[in-house]
Amino acid sequence: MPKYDKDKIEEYLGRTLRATDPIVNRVKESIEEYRSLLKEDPIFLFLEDAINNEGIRNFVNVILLGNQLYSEFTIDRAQNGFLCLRLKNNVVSIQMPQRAHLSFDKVTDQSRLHLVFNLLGLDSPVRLTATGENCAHLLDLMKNHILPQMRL
Amino acid sequence: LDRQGRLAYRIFVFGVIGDNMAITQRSSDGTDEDLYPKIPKSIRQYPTWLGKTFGYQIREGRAEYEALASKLYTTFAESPLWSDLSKSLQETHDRYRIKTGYDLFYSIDVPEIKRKPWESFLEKTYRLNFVKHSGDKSYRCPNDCYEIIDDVVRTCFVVKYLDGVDFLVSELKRISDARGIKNRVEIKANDSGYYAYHFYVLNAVDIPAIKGGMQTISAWVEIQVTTQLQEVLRTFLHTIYEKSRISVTPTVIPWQWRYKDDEFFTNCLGHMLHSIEGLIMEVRRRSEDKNAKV
Repeated sequence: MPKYDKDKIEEYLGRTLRATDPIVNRVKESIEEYRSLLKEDPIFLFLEDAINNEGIRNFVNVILLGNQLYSEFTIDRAQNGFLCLRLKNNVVSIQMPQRAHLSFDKVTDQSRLHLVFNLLGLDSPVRLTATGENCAHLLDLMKNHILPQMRL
Repeated sequence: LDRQGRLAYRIFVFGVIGDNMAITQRSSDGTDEDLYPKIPKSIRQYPTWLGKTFGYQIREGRAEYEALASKLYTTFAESPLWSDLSKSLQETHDRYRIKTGYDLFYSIDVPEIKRKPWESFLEKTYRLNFVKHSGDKSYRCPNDCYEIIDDVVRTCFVVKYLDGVDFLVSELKRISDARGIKNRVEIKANDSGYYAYHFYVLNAVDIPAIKGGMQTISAWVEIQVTTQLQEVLRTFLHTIYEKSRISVTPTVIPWQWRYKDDEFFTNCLGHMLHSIEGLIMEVRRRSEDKNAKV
């Protein structure tokens, strides 16, 4: 993980991210919804996280990638938001407003990453954050799924 | 004296007598004898009153209380229930976030468990006997109050939003029920602007009795759940409560009209903050509605 492997979901969420049971269950629900809508397994899973000023780690969105699609499910049920975008050759720009304690090939517990990318035809950019070891997975997402889709 | 004057005079005389009144009963030889010594005019006279009324010795009483508070503290702090509660904070926070999209806590840190100091305990028994006294003329010895005074050991969780209070208490109840621990909830909303939920769990502890041997006490531990704004205000309120709540003589003018007093300021602030927190919930609701319509 985060290359999607249904047998390794709990390892990624539980051991790497230390997500609690309600979060793990919510991610599994999102995957089920994705499969129900698109009739296929996602190829990539990323659980967005952020640490607030008081040190609480919150999980924000579940990102599921298909071969050509980017989809996002909100963790909170109140909003229960869903976003689905075409990625293929559609990325206009990539920004990293925050890239703390990391390089493109090395992350630490202190790492913080904020990734922003713009898609053609979308008014507002897509913003993703990650902390600690999860930054490596966000970098993976950027390098292997967003960057190759830059519109040339 | 005219009629109004005579009435005022009678009330004044009654008040003076009442302040010095001893409770009496008629003995078999037809003479009156003291059932209780004169009630103490202030908390300073309370230890003497306890000695005369119950033969209660402050030094021994204090030792017994300290033993109880210490044992209750250890029992609760090392209990599987407290361990469960502490471990479940992140999960409870996540459940609330999934449900609402907002943070439950400001901090996931386990709150401090506190013991009620002896002086506060004794003062509370004084208030039970004379300030909040129901008038049934039965007084309680401090060592009979261990199961009544339910905050000998207490802790406090602080949440961000009003609906978080009820949410967290429901989780505390669920976890306590799962452990088979007797519990109860009191929803606090008083005239002084104090708003919180108090969740209580029952603990049985064995302590040495004054009379010798051991005694088993079933005492409640208080888990307060309140909001951040209320928590900030409690710091101010506490000092003012100390002054006002041990007064035996009720003030004739309600605090709502004593606008120059500290009590007026802090009590009003308590109600205002609660009102603002209600408005914040409404802003949240409207924001959710707006998001749903976009």
